[in-house]
Amino acid sequence: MSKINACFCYPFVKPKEPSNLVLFCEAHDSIPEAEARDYLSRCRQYAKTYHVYLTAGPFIIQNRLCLCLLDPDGHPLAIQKATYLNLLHHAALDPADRIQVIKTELGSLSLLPGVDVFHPEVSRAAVLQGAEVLLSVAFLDAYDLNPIRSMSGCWAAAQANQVPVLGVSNVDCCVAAPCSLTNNSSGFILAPQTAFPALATVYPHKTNRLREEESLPARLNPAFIDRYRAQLSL
Amino acid sequence: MSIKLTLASYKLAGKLEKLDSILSGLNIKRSTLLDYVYPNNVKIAAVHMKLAPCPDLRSLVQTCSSLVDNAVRSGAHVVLFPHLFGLLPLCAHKGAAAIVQKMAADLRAGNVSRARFSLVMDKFSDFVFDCYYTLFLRLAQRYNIYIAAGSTYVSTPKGIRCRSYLFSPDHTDAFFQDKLHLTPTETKLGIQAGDEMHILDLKIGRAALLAGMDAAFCECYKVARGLGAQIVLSPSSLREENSYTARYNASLIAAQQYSLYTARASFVSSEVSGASGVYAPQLLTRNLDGIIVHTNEAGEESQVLCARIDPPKLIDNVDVYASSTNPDFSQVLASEIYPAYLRSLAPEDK
Repeated sequence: MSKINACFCYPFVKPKEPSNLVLFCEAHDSIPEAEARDYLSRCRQYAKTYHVYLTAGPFIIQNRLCLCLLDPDGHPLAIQKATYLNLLHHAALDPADRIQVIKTELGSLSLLPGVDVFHPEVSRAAVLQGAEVLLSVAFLDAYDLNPIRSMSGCWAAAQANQVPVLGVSNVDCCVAAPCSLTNNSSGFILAPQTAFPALATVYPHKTNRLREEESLPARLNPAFIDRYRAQLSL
Repeated sequence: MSIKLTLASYKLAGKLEKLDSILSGLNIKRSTLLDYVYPNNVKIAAVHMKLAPCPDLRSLVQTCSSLVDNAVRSGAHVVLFPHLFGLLPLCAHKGAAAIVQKMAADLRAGNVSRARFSLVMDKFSDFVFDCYYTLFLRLAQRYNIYIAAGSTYVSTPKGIRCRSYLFSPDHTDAFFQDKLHLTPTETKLGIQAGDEMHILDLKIGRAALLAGMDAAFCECYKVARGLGAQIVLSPSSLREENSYTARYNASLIAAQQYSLYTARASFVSSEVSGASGVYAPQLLTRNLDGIIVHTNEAGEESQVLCARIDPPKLIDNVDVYASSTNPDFSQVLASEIYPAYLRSLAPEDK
């Protein structure tokens, strides 16, 4: 039965105990390609030093916006390229065509770089392939900050797919989960907050049990999906 | 794409005349708004309905007429009613009330069998459907307004369907949309899901009807958008699907994700919560919150929320976070991931 002690902190700051997963609050929309190698090297050292899983990024490699998941020994488990891109900041980059599911001792994780969290198909694809927890790292321009932005990202992904979503951006962090598993049916284990570091505990087995009892994705209509494959392919 | 519907063949001797007679006694003022529609100035009304039984036909007609009248006076081109609104005539049928109350209690306890549900449907569905269909067809014609009259259960040659109707003053048959995704209870009762989405080409724009649980699926919105919908009308059920808090709901979220105007109408009471409103992409709303009008409060009376939308403006809505496309990813999702997942759910062939 896994337990995620997630710590959201500024880059390379010592994580709060007893964290086993760290997400950095990066100030910029991405680490440029020229600095990516050094950045990842530091991230690997950090993960090894504090013995934590670390979501590093976003950074640019080979014209793609990426997130990397490192294990507590500093080894990269996966690099996830963004499938959708911010039209203002990353329009010239190449998108990926797949989302990965990474099996770890914390559970099956998927990474959502950049604006992927605002596209419901990405989190849906991850969960249909077995993801139990989603990790989102986004960048928001100051003038785009508003509650509906948070709700239509992490919160909506958590409700639609019945999984916890750990989200961090350049300004805030949150942990969203199905409303029935949160205080006051708010849909947040950790409400959006701008104070760092922040700690939150997530039990993936609880949402797994919820999905076993009444799975929303399992209610998908196969005949409808098959009939409108063309529209779903747009 | 409008679909012709054949009216139920069962005739209620005397009852429809009574309905017409009650309607004739009302002071119905015909709206002229649909005579010419300015595309940038469309108004949608959503009924936030206090859940209360109508003890007889007259009360039912007066309640519905009053709400439509309210929408017309607010300048609406279309008025949306909640999910399963079409079952309300059961209250007006003297023989049905006690039976339905018992069945509702048993449903909540999980004690209703498919056979018993079919029996009740056989006994009362014609009356319920005739009342509901005829009433709203007449109201749409007399008031000259589109009425998305919620939904009801209908017996069809393909089985019992949960069907939403939109009544137009220009047509003698209603547009309809079968519910695409069923709740566990509906599945248990043998209700059949539809598999086709109809986009309604109305004078106010192109609209889709997503009732109940359908509004919780991103796939429905994506298909609606892909088929050209600008407006999604969601008759909403008694409780928020997915335990969404009443403040935020699937219609509001979907308007942001798919660049659509959405509207939602719910029942509300001291025991059940629901949210109603009209929503838009946040960049098209005054407070950048995606809300044009909204309520989730259980007041003393039903409310009719009316709001102006501008469907042609959706083309100019570019949200840098949500507007990018990736056909390659969508293709993988549609051709590989969905089929693999749905195959994993299918019972094994023996």
